[in-house]
Amino acid sequence: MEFGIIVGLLLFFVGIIIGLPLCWVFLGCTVVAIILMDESLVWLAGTAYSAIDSYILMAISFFIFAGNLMAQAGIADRLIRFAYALVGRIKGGLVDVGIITILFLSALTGSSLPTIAATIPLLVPQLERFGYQRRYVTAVLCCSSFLGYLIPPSVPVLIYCLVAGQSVAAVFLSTVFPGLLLAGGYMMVNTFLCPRYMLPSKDIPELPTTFKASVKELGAATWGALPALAIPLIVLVGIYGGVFTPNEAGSIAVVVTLIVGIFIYRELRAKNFWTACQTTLTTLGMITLLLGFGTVFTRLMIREGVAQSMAETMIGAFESKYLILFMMNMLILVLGMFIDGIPILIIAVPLIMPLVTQIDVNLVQLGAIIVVNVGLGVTTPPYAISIFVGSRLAGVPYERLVAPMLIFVLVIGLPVLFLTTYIPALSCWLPTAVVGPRIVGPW
Amino acid sequence: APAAKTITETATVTPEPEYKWRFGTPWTQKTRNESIALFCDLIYVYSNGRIKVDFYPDGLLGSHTEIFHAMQEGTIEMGVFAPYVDIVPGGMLNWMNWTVETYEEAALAYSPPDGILYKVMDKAWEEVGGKLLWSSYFGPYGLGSNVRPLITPDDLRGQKMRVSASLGYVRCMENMGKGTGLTLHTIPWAELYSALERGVVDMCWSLWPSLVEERHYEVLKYYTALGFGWDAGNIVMNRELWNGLPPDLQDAIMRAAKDAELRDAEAHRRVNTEYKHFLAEAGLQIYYPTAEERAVWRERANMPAIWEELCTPWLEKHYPGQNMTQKILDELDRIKAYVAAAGG
Amino acid sequence: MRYARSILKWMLSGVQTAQVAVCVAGLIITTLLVFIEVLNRYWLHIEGMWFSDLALYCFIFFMLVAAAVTTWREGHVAVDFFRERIVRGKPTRAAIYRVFLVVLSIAVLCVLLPVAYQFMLRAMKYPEYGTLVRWFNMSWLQITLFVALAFVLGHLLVIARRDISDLIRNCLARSRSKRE
Ligand code: NA
Ligand code: NA
Repeated sequence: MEFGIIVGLLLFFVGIIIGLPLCWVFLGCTVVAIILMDESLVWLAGTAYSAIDSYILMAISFFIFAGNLMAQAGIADRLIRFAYALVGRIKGGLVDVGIITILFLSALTGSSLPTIAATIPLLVPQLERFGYQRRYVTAVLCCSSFLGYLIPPSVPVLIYCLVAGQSVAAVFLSTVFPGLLLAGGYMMVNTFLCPRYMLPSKDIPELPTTFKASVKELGAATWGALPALAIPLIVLVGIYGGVFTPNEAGSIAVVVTLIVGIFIYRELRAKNFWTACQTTLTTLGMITLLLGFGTVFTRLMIREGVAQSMAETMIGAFESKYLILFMMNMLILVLGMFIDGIPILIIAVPLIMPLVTQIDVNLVQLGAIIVVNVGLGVTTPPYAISIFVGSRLAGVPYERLVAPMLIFVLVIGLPVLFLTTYIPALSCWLPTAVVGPRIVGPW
Repeated sequence: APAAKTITETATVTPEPEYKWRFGTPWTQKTRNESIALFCDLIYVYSNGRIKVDFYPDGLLGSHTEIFHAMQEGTIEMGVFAPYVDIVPGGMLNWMNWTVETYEEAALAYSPPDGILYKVMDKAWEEVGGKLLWSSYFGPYGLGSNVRPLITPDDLRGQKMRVSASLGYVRCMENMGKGTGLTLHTIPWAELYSALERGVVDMCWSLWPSLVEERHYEVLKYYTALGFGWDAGNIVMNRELWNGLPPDLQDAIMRAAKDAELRDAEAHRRVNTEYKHFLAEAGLQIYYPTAEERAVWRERANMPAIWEELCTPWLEKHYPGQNMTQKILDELDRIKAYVAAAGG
Repeated sequence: MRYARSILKWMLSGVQTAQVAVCVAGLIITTLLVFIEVLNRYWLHIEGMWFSDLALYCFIFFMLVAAAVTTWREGHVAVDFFRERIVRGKPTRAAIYRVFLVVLSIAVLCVLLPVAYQFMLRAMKYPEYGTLVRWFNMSWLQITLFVALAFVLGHLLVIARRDISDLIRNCLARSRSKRE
């Protein structure tokens, strides 16, 4: 590895630790590395610019906007009251609701950010009133965010299939069970972990004690939440019914939220509309520089072959199938700590493919393994796009999110990754049943 | 290509090349990328090791516009590009509909130094700081649908079609679908698969390699091999750098270009044949229209009006008073007649 | 002197308001364009394939300007764990640390600005027009990148000036309290 790259990586850690805003950390260590290697800086501007030139990012901005509007328009309150009437008695029940919400929203988009972008402004302030610690709720939502990769449609799966030449339909389905397993695991861990992160709150409403009163409260809550529930319903039906694309769904969510907020609940006034716009803007401006310079940093690592040389040293040395798969997972996990998910796919898959085809692994299963792993990368520090955005959206410091998130990653995320790696049926059964054994191949 | 690698190894004559360049492509395109790798190796061989080009496939150097801008600035010296008219104002000439239809015609129209499309496209690239070296052809465009087989333009009725921002293709589809209620929708390429799967759109244009490699056949029922357009990717280098090269190195590059182009056309032609068989076996219903049926579509497309609208203003600016539109069309007709005569 | 300062202040708040207004307008226009595209597909059927292209241009534009807005709102994410440990309860040290970070940010950005300037020059040399929105010159967006970064620098300088005068005030207060 070149001297400049080593200094750059060191500065990356130093910058993060001393508390320099992350966008300047990414830019700074890239710049220093390039100057030390005596190469041209000219490509930096073009790369940063092209990171913003993206329809996916546009969808993300819509969902952030919609989430902020829902919070301001009283829609969030009603959704939570409804959920509370349903699951308020269950320990950590409202956080489970958050996980399930993410699971459904994951079906909307192929990436992880839109789901947390929509749910954090919606859920976190509300749940805090019910005694759940802000940082805990945010951490759970951030951890769950990569379910967006596992429940189809999924951008990483599309890219994997393009590089590996596999059936999109098959690989879409291969990640569904690992995704459900993750969601279930998160809910289980939440039951145990949640009480530790509860605070006494005066605002927690009393749940009715008699059965009759409970039914009445549930009825009232449902009635009040109906227009609010229509928003996710329209979006889901629209996407699954083929009425519009996920990107368009974002703008529709915004417009429907406006209609419900202005004409039905009548709580959205000029003032809170303005507040929602302001909050959205600050977040988007943060994302612009973070994504622009984060891409610059990632691109440098690729241009200088850092990831490639890591792959060669880590995987090349083994012969046992189980060890190779293990090292492959380690490699992607380590890459995931420094590089964004989609670049990892583009670099790692072509490097891994020749090694893995020799050891007889089903390529649909390989897709599931890699996409689950790349998804975990969204949540592993220090470079974790979900933590960056989640911390900004919830107003929780980065480092306060890391500890609770790591519990979920270690206790559920990694085990599910290794189950996917060593039990082919987990990923291959569903696609074989749906698209047929001819396309999926033997496993 | 492993064969190409050994050539490079044996040709290691000079220890350190005078020029070290980067070649970038944003795409994962197996056959084309093999040809490009060969091209880079051949440059090394033909220049006696004075130029070494490192090939970065699969978007390693960034997105299409990113690599394009870097080529203009000279920080990435070479790349393969789609000359969209937003970045190359004369780029529509590269893929006007209903012109080139076969690999034989393409070889005559696009080949340096005398192919008519090569000449105008090189001019178009010069305008944005590029030098056109050679072109790589995916082949003919056809139409995919999930509603019904497309045999006549009337079969377009009531369908929703995905289009890109290529204005020439959009105009052509507008004309062919006139009066049928066909509606056109720009949807990002990345969302096309899901959009077809979910039924957001019923139709799209596609190519044999895209049907297979990008898996469009999984979400399409019918495909008509209409051949209403021809895909040509342009392999381009920074113009200033090119102009500064001594003539012998320019020759070496053009020699490598010629060889790579031949290999590429041959490989794509072979791959397309394989793909046709694969798709038929995979259950895609492919329709091959007759010459008469194609003539009906072509008539409907009303190409002269599109040439007049899109090409003539640019051509008039760069070839003033030469009636270049007509000259190009005449030359393309001549090529078509020549190929037909040679084939028959 | 006081007069000049109030004019500067007035100008600064004018710039900030203008930036926010541009961004909010961009956000709303982008949303509506994409929404109209869906309406168009099912009901309106007007000749409007350019909606999504124009939406993307609007989007890029306001996202770039938003970067400047976030800067003066000091909304960029950082890891504050270590910093909080060493400056807790020590206002002077905290002030020094703030100045250090903002100066470092400015230094990093100053390396990028000439590059963005070159990027802008190239964009001006080769104008790139939208294909479906043919009056739209995309070079405007690439110029906006430089302009937005210049604004980011401006806002960082304003923050630096504020932090430095905080630091000076802090030091003065400390020396005064020592004398007493
Ligand atoms: Na998804
Ligand atoms: Na990570």
